[in-house]
Amino acid sequence: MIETREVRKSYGTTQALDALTLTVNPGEVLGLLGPNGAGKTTTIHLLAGFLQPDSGSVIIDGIDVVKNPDGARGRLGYIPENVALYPFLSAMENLQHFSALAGLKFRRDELAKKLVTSGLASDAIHRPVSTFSKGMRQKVGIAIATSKEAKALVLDEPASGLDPHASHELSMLVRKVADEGAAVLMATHDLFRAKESCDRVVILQDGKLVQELDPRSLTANDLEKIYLKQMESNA
Amino acid sequence: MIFRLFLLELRSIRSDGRLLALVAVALSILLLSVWIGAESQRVVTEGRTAAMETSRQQWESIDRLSAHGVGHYGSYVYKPNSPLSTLDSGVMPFTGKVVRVEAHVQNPPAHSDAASWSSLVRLGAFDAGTILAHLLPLILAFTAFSSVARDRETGLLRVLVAQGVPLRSVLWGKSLAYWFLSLLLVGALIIAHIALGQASGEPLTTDIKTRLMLFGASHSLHLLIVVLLSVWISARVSDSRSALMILMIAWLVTTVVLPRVTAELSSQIFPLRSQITFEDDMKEDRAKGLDGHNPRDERRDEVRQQVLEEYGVEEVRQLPVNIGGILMQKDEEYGNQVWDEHFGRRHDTVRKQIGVVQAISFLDPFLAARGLSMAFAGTDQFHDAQFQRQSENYRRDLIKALNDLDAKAGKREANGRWRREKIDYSEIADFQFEPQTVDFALKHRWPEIAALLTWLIASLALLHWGTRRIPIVGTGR
Repeated sequence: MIETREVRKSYGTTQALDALTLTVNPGEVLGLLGPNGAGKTTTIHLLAGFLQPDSGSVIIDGIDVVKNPDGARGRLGYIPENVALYPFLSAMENLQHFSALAGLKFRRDELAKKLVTSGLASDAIHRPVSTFSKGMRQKVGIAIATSKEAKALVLDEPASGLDPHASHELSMLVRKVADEGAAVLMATHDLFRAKESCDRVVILQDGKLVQELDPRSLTANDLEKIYLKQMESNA
Repeated sequence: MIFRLFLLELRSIRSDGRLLALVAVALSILLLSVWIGAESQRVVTEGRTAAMETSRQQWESIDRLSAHGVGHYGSYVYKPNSPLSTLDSGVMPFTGKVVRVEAHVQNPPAHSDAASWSSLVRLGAFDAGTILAHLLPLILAFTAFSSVARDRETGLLRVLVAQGVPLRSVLWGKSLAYWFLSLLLVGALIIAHIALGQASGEPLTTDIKTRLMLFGASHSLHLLIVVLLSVWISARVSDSRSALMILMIAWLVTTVVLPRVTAELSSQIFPLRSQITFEDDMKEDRAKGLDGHNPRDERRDEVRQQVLEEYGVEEVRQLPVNIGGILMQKDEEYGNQVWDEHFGRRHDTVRKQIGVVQAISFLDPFLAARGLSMAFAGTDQFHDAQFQRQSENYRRDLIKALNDLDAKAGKREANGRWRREKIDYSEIADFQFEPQTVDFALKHRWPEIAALLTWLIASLALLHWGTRRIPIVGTGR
């Protein structure tokens, strides 16, 4: 489970998050929508323990991130908007090293399978990632995050830079991870993908949760209209 | 985990051609400095050996001079180079290499490299100790300034931390990688030094081995401190440009500004008399007496009276010895007391000045590393003072032997005149310098060792406990 309770975070005089309370249950995918500067990335960074909240609590699978960041991270998978990897290593070596750093050991065939499952072409597995496009690096990042088989997965604009096919594969992968019991929180601008993979969607604006929606009861067009209307009403 | 991060950082450095080039340049400069040091050592040794042979030949060809005349004729003693001076020349280029030993006068060492308008005057010393203490910290700061900041800027730090890697492990992995490079450089330097020494037939004694080990260890410790602080600053400061600026300022302050301020401060607090004043004061004390109330003429009369009483005679012409030799020796002994007094005071002042530097080395690890480097190379002021002491002891023994010969080698003729025997001066041995063991260096340099260890503990503590406020994400959200 992923939880934030009355979380506040400010940068100087700018209030990035204002009493944000969220819950993502195991097996659920929550989409976090909002314009640039709404506080989506701050929320993700707080959940990953990269930032400390000014007040409130952030909990991953029952562990308080502020009190026990290492423990919380052990149960968390994280995919950033731009996945940074060791450029001089191949995709396979990157996955091997990052898994080992997380205390996981996989055989080479298992590593290859994880990369292919994440959407990476099998002929790219042994190539140095310095030759990869952003989308390919993103797929390696997905493999790294999901190989932890964490209880919670947070994704920050994960489909950014992915082609439609890869983006669809990512949606399917996210769905699969949730179906296996993980709580997934995905910050995104992509309303279509949110509709495709999320069980619930929340709209964040100026650090506040302004609306919660069930995307399954809406078409992608409806979702877009509601989102734009919400943006206009708060402008 | 740390070992894996260490290996990853090493591969990262290897993949970055610029860093690898910097390391290669550092290695080349170090090896070049050892080769240049060994070559100049060879030239100096050859020159010294030739000069010693000439001095000896001149000594042995003395024929008709009286023993006291020989005392005035004098001889020369030559300072041998420490076998490790090729690694760190220390103060040696600035201090004299040759002492003229003669009766009545304690000459200071003369003919320093700096005084002979060598390239040293224009460019400063080019030796491994200087490079390790000055240049390598700069190179390390240049390579490590972005070690963590770059990972934060690219987002790699977030991926690592999200995988459950503690920040301190990241910092340790990086620090060990940069330190490993430093160890490679120090190791290569020591191996090159040993190889060149072996090739030229220099013995590798236990003392030299210990000194080499401590020389390498002290520089390695200093470089570890530099690496730990560089990596920590790279982590603590929000961007790599700021980290670089802080490290450059720190380098400038610790290696350029503070050492000069310290030197100035120590000579202000404990001023040293100039060589001219030192010599004038000694001349005056020798002539007037140490207390100013015991002039030379009165002292001579007193000695003459004592000798006459000792031999139970009333006149000098009745003595079975040449009183000239006895008077000269007594005057010499008084001169020795004067020298001991003045040299002792001077040495005390130098010790106090070094004490100021040693105290400030608790604020500046560079000063500690520099002091230890010179001490273990056997080229610091403490070692240099030993040459002055030993050459003075040799002078005293030589002049006493000559004065004794002047007093006793001969016989009183019936007419009361003293007839001198012909003396073979070749039996008087040359000056033999007794080098100090490494214990001597350790005894005088414990404050620097304590300072370096204090810095090391503080740096380790910073890396271990100072990660709480390290930003994982860059500025902004």
